[in-house]
Amino acid sequence: MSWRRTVARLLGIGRRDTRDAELRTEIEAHVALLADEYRRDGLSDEAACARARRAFGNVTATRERTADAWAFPAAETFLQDVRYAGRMIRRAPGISLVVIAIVAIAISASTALYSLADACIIHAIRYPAADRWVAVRARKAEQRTFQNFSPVPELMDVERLTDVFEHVGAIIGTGFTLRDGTSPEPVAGTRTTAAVIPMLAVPPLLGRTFTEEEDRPGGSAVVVLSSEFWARHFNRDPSVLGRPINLDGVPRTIIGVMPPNYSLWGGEVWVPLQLDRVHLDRGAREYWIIAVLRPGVTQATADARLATLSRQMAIDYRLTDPQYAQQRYETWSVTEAVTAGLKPAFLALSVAVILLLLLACINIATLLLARAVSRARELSVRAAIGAGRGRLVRQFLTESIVLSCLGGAAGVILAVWTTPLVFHLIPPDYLSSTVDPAVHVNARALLLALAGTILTGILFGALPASVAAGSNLAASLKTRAVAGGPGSGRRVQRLLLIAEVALVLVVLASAALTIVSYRRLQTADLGFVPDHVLTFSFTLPIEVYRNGDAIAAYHEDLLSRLRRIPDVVAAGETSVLPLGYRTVDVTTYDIDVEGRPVRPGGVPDNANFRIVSPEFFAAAGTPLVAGRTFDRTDDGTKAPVAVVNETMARMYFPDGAVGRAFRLRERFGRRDLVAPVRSATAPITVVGVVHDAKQTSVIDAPVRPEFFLALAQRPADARAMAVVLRTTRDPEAVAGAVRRVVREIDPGQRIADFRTLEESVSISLGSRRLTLLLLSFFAAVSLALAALGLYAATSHGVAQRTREIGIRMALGADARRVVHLVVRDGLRVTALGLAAGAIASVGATRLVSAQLYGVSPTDPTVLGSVAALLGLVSIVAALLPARRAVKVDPLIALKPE
Amino acid sequence: MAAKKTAADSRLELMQGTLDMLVLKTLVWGPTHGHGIATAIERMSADLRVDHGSLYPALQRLQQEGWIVGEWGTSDNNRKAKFYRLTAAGRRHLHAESSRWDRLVAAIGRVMQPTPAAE
Repeated sequence: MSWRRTVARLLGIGRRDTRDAELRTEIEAHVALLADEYRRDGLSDEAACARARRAFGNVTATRERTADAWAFPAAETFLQDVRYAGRMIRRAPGISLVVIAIVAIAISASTALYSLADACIIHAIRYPAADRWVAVRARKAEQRTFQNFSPVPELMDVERLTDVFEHVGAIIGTGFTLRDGTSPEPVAGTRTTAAVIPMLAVPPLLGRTFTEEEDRPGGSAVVVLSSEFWARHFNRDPSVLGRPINLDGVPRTIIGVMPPNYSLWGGEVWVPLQLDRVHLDRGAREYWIIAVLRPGVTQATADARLATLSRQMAIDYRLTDPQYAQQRYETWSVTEAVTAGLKPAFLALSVAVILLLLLACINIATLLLARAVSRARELSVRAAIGAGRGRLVRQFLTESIVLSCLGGAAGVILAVWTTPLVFHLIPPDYLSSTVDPAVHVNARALLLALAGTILTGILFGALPASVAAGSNLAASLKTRAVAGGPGSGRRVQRLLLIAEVALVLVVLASAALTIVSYRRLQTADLGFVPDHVLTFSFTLPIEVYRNGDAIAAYHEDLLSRLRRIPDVVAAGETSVLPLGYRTVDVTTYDIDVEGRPVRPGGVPDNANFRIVSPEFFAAAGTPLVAGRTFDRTDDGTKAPVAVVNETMARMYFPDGAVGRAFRLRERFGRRDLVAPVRSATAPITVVGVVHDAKQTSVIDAPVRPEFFLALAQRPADARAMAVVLRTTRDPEAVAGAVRRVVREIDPGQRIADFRTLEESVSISLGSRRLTLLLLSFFAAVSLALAALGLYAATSHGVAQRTREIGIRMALGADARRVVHLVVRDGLRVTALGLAAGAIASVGATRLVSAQLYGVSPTDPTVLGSVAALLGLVSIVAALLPARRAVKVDPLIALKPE
Repeated sequence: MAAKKTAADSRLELMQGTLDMLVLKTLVWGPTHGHGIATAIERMSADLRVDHGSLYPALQRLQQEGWIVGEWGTSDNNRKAKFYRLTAAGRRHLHAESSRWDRLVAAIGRVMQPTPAAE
């Protein structure tokens, strides 16, 4: 077919009627002309007309064949099918509306979920090449831990792997104090090498980013601002470029401003790292190494290269740095690292959404199947007047796709509206700072919704269609009984309902287990008592507090003043707040435990550590198990002492920890949290053991071995600290007094993270709360779907068996028997579904076991109660239509059609 | 479908695919309507039977290709009819088709009436 005809045909779609009328006039004229000729030959009017018609041939066939050329015949039939589907939908508005509603709910849920996942996980980092960003970190072979921080010489080693990495740079988050305004203000900053800049591939909004020259030691002091910082402090003044701002007492020149929502490692101000590449120290692990994979290079390839490098390092430095024998460098996808906290929740929800879609399909298939069976007569008639089997199947599929498209459209509208609402339920702590807060349904989500809609339409239309095509059409034309009889349609319907009940049980069980876990977590033994505790953190700037004595004096003064506030019962300080350990960059020490030598080639013992003031344990509510906690005598003049947690006591001092000693070895972690090791050789004596306390915001994570050092013995390390205040009244009530005390000591000192410990606990439960909320929603929807399915199936059965019920009642059957007759089927389906669901749950809930806490995935009480709930709902759903069956009037039911 | 062939009607049926060319050819002598085209072909060929009904799908095709244009007009005996006119593109197409036809006929002719080869 030439392009001209294709275009002509495309233009012809939908204009069939006007064209057909025109063609008919033309053919009539033709026949009239023929008749004129025959009249001229002497035939009578009538005979001439008849002869002309005969000579012309079959007018209808000519019209149809000509019309085929106008548009695409397949498209025309499709439009016809769609129009017919529209009529069928209008004729059964109840069922149609239910189907549309089900599709709308399923599609909106999946579209909204995908939109969130897209914004928060898949494209959490909005830089163009973010999917190729990796962090390079060292796996410590046998400890199953990672060292996220690397020293400069190792950065230089990785920089040489130009065959797999496009860019390699170092980066570290730093807190700055801004000293420009009336009072100093903490600012989240990021120090980075210049090599990190080109990997962003996003041009600054204003000015420029820094250069290699500015990144060398002694380079000029420059700073790049985030758009948000620029808006807050400079009111979006474009003339800021070239102006100085004072960060930590250093005036830095503003050289650029980034576009909105592009922060780097959470930093609002970026400064060049200016690494010293001459005086190298392989022990100073202080920086994240981040790199961009070359296009086409996989993480596996890069890992192989890094493994070779690691092996070479182990050989080259076996004498000076024997720890290299234990470490292997690996890549870690940055996107994955940023979104790790949200992943399990989204995984669970994706499974829930897929189940929901499946349920929706089953449910709709059941509804349409019931309708298909009752339409057997209509189908027979259509088949009898020449509709092919394929044509009937296509008709059914068109109907279901039209229905699903209507539902899908409603679902997308619903999703556009609900996505931002659901987004606000995600606690901000779980979102990467680069996530665009204006989350919306984007083109990818729409495409997914479209695919989902069409797939749903085909899935739920295929079954009724195949049943309709396979049924004995001639038989159903003869008798009406077939419609109600136990045909293949009803068998399939029953199987579908069983599957549905089983699936719903699985969803309910998962939701119930999550709810139970959440309750258990809320009441879990945290190892501290979160109520009536106020916390805040602060960093003492180096320009003001130059040495350990100054720092010690500040803490002394602060704690004694805080203790004098009415209602404060205990005031302690700690370098890491309860639940305050970050999951990714914990600061730890390798230690030598006396009498526990590391076997050759073995892994040194490792533990978390905190620096705390004596009253910390009382303030946090962490009970002492053995020995004593610190007291005022544990100061710099005495031999160093430590308190350890139960896990450390159990692991490293199985014969009792109190009185034993250990030495510090290598330190891993952030420089801004702790100063480098100085007294590494001095033994530290354990004086007490405290109860295990949860360390990270992932509350169900296992507790690591941990030791506590006395603040008074290591004041120089106590620059970044947090205060823990236990009060008798509402902790918020003392907030004003606390701020006043801090201002009195040093008006320039800023504090941050002012919150109650209960809030911290609630924040750390946040992602679970989200999972819980959404899972409960899915569970409720699927329960409603199951009820609806059973209800529809039973009431359809009642409608079809009206005659039979009438006969039975006329013959004396009482209401009880009628109800039994109608409900029996529904109950059997429920029982079988529950049995199948129980088996499936045992397998499926294992998948969510990672999300569970304190409850077994096969907990019989939980499974039993959800099964009881589902059974009850099913019985009600089947009983409701039975009431209608009892009201059947035999006289009306038996009237001939 | 096609008009039943009576025993009396022993004229030749059109070869597949030649109708388009014949329609275009009859329009060379000026615009005419469907009936006019059919009778013109029958009259000129003296031995071809044109199924009037099959004319309309062909006319539709030719219009879509842009080779002919249809306009409503009045016939000699005062009947409203659609008159088809050959376009420039149609004329070009006809020219190409008829030379192709000439070659085809000559080729078939050579096969069907071979000059006896020397033995």
